Amino acid sequence: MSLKSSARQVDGITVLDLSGRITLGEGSVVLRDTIREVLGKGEKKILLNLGDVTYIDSSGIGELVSAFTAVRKEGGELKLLNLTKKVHDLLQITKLYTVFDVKDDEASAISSFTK
Amino acid sequence: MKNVLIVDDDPLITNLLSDLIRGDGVEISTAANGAQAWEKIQHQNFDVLITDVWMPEVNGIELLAKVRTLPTQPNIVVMSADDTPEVMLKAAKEQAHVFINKPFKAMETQKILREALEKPAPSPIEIVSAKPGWVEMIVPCERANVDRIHDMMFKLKGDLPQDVRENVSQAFRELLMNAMEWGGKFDPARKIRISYLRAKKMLLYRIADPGSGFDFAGLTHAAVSNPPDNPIEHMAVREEKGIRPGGLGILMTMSLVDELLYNEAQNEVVFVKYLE
Repeated sequence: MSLKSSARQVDGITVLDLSGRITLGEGSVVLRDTIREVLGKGEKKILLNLGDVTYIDSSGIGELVSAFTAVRKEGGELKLLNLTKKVHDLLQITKLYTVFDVKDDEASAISSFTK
Repeated sequence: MKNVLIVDDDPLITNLLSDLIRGDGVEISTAANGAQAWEKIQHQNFDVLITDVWMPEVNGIELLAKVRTLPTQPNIVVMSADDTPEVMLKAAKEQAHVFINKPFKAMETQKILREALEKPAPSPIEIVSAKPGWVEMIVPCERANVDRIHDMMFKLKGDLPQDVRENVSQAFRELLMNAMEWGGKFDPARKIRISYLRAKKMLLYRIADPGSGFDFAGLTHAAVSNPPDNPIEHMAVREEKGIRPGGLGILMTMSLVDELLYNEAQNEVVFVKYLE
């Protein structure tokens, strides 16, 4: 099914809880629009919670990279939280795992952002 | 108003499915077998047809064969506890767009049925060979067909370990999407030929697209061309060229399967996964 995104604020960090599929078309567009909207509001510290992402394709991973570079260009930080094994493996084989700052628990992810 | 016909010889199923899709603008009819359904279909147009397979008198596959003779095709959803490759392929050959295994999960099924209500039926695919060990089809370059074919091919390999199923399915989807997007330009008038062979010790897929091919040397917008120390260099090239984010499909596929081969023009690709 398509991607759903909901935003919440934790200690000044925008946490985006994503659920569903990030694939070419609908899912990728939802992610792109969400990041654009958050940046548009001046929120530049973003934690993407991917725990409920059921499927991602190369376009979806490309969209994650695009989000990462867009946030970095604005002087912000984007980190990934709760990768499923599949997403973790795909980031490894595309050599992107080291590009992202990947976290396993929300509390330590929140405290890792630059104050 | 959307008209839906639910065909099943179990009234509990027709009632449950009716509850799942009932809503404003949805008119639901039911039938207990293919014969009753065909009677209704001849007098009324349906946007969505949901049918069981094994029913008395006229079964679901026979019903779909009759439905194919109609000038306008409904969006077809087949639901069955018989999820053998033979049945799934027969259903696909008769233009079923989605196959749902019984027993089904209510929420998941509700989403699939709602999508079937909202979206028009995708262009028909031609199944040239529906033998479980040798599947061959000709598919219009339409994005909706990617999910449909990907889902069907995934379900065909129910007996394989989950990681093998997931890896070959992901590789297949990546290369199919490349063929549709770059070779076929998402033009439904252009067709892709897909072959899938299952031997004792390997799975082999071949995808032939209608494009003129490509050259790896000119693929600077793809991750396969990146230097080892910069895994996102291609993303800058894509941005410069106005290409959507991505370019990771071939690199991803190389790791998910055992062999990846292109023909000289590079508009046909074969990949192989060896089985233990």
